[in-house]
Amino acid sequence: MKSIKSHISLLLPLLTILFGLQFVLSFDRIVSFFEKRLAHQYTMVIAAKVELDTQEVAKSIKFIDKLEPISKESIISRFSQNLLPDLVKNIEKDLPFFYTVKLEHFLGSSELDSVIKDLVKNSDIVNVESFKANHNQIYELLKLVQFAFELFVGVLTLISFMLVYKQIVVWELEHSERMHIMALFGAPLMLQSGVLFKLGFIDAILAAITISALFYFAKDTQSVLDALMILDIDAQLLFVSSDFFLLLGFAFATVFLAVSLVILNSKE
Amino acid sequence: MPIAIKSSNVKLSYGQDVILQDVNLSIKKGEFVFVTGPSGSGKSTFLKSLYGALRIEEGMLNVGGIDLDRISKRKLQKLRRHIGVVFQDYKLINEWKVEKNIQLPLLIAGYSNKVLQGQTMKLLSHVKLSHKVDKYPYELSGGEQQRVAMARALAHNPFLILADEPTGNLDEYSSNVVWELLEGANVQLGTTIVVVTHKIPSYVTVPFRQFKINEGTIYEIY
Repeated sequence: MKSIKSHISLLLPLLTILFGLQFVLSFDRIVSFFEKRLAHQYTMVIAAKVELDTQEVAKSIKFIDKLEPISKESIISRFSQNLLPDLVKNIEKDLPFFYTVKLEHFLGSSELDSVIKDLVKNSDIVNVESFKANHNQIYELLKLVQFAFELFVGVLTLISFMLVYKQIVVWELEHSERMHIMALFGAPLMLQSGVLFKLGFIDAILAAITISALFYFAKDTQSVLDALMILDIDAQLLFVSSDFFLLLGFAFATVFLAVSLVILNSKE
Repeated sequence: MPIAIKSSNVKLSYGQDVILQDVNLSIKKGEFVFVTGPSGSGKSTFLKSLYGALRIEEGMLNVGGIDLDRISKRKLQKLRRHIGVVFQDYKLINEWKVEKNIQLPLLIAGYSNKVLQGQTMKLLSHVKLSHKVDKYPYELSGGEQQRVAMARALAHNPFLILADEPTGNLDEYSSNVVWELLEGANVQLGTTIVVVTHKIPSYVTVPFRQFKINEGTIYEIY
């Protein structure tokens, strides 16, 4: 009973750490999915005095995926019904060439500025409409949410790590007699602390399996599917199989770090 | 004969309390030595300094050719792998069976499983406990536990065995077995033995030297 209790004391903070980590992994995937979608939806419009070689421009400027021409007819047709045909012809002749610019991915503010700067450098381009304010608002909001979330998980991880450390100190006291005897016969520190590593690694494996199972089954749960569908998010983004190995590695690293700190801080 | 232990002007203390000072002695390899003295005189403290559990305050202490006054943690671990220690309270690991307790010094030294098994069976028969191989220390009597501790101290053929009141809590039979083992290691293997005790037993058959602790220092009795 005592042993189960002491395992739970380590398992709970480890679960908290891994839960936070898995949330960060899932959240990052969702954010990146949103960024791709926003990048796809977001377009800049440029006006040029001559017809541009779209492939050449796209190739020469970083982050630009492609340029698509906007036909003059489609622009004029919106207001040409009440105009005389000659006037329409004149307007068509004087009208610049318009293009929509598609980006490779959702850019940050500075990256967007560099794209605009490169476009303006081209002497054939007379105007660039980036809708930057709108773009930045969405981007900053996304980044703020991500930062706030990661900060929260970071604080949670720090507190949980302190609990992991405390529990390993308790284990060290429980096993101090054994470690002292081993030291009398010249056992190196790592061997003396073998019992602490063993106990910690068992809990690390248990925690990684628990969190993986939780997210694995959550992505197929109807209520979760419904909630994600409202936001038009693919539930598969919640957990991918490689996450298990990341969680396991992180749990091992946490235990290793905590045990090493306890050993370094202990006196013979 | 080479020197096993040499000390000159050693001072040992716990904080401000000086326990021993001006300790000057030299013990050759293969000698059997008793250190006697009344309770609280500093016998165990002296023994602790020999296996590096207590740092010396002043002077020079050399064990097995290694100076303990400036020894690093790693070097001390290496030295301890060549020393066997026996205590009045046995200091066995209760979560481990007798077999694994005896194997501890061999495990630390990194011997193969084959060597571990062979050596364990040999030692268990030596201490007359072959039938207790699968028992835990708490399932044994005090005498049996001390015989296991003796087997553990002998397992890695140390050049030096340090024993702190090894028969203090034992019945006559177990005491005899322990002394036989210590004498056997000394005579047959040439192991240096340092025993700290308040009284030298009458049935010791090997030649020995005696040091006495009195008024905070150690001197030899001829």
